[in-house]
Amino acid sequence: MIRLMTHFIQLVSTFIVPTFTTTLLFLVTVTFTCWTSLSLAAVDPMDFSSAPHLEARYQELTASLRCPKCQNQSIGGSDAQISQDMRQRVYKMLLAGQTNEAIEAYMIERYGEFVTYDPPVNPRNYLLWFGPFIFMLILIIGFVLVRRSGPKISQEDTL
Amino acid sequence: MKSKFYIAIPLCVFILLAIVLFLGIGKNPQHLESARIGQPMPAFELPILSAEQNNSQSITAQQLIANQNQPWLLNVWASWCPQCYAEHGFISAIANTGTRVVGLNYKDTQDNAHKFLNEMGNPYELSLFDSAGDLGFDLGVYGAPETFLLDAQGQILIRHAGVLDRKIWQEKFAQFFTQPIFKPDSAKE
Repeated sequence: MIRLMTHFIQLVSTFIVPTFTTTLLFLVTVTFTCWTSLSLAAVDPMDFSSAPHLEARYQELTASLRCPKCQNQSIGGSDAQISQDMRQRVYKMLLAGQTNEAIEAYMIERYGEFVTYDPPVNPRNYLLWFGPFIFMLILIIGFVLVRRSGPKISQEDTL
Repeated sequence: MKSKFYIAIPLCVFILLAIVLFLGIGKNPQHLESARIGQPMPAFELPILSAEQNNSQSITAQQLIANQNQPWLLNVWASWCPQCYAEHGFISAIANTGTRVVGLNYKDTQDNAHKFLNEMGNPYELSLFDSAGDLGFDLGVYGAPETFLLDAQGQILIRHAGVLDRKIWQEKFAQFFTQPIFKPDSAKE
């Protein structure tokens, strides 16, 4: 019985705690990132009186583009000069009738994929997109396999 | 025996992760990878920063990159950028070796730009006057100072964000020059 307990504690420390901590950190980071990017700065409110239907897209785009300088903020939530410049561009491009994809592509062309909070899924990014899931999968498989071979050993030891 | 093998799996995963993260040490996340590496200089037409009010010439990208036979630098600077003052000495040292340094005066005013050059000295063959920051935007500039290295054909080789110094020169820039531009015993600037 004690053997089983120690073995279980071993399993917990090897698998469950890191998985739990990683997942917790992941969730916290995601929450904070989303929360931060939703705080939109009203430093230079753009005039959408001539095209009110574009304002929603403007908010969407400025929340999904990352400020290259202050990298934890979206361009919507940052006061940096480069953020202001990028917001101006987004505004102008929207008024010129560009699609969201075209505007995003325009920014990525100049600032790289890091500039968007929603990077495209291409072979270069597979590790980013699928890494955590693969990692979890390895841990779960490992846990299951060790669990299976675990009780056998403890039965041999108990007299 | 079998269970020992499976217990080794998290260890392997940890080692893998440790290697990946270790490779990241020392890399400054503030320094974005440039999206323009390997691409030609973006097209532009900008005024040249000129001391005379009425004599403002313009220059295009084609004209700027023409007739070069060795790599040259484009240094993004502005009077409002404190680190540009710190970097200026080294930029001047590069210019003194005969290497071409072109300035990109970024989001600045004529008056302040001239004040900077008069105060600090002018190491630039010429400075492009990009008051709106449009060329900067096309290059992916997000602050000053930044320095681009371009080859003789006008292709972008390197973008360095931040102050340029001797150490960074040796690490990133020197490899593109067939001859070292600094003599080994010249004063470190």
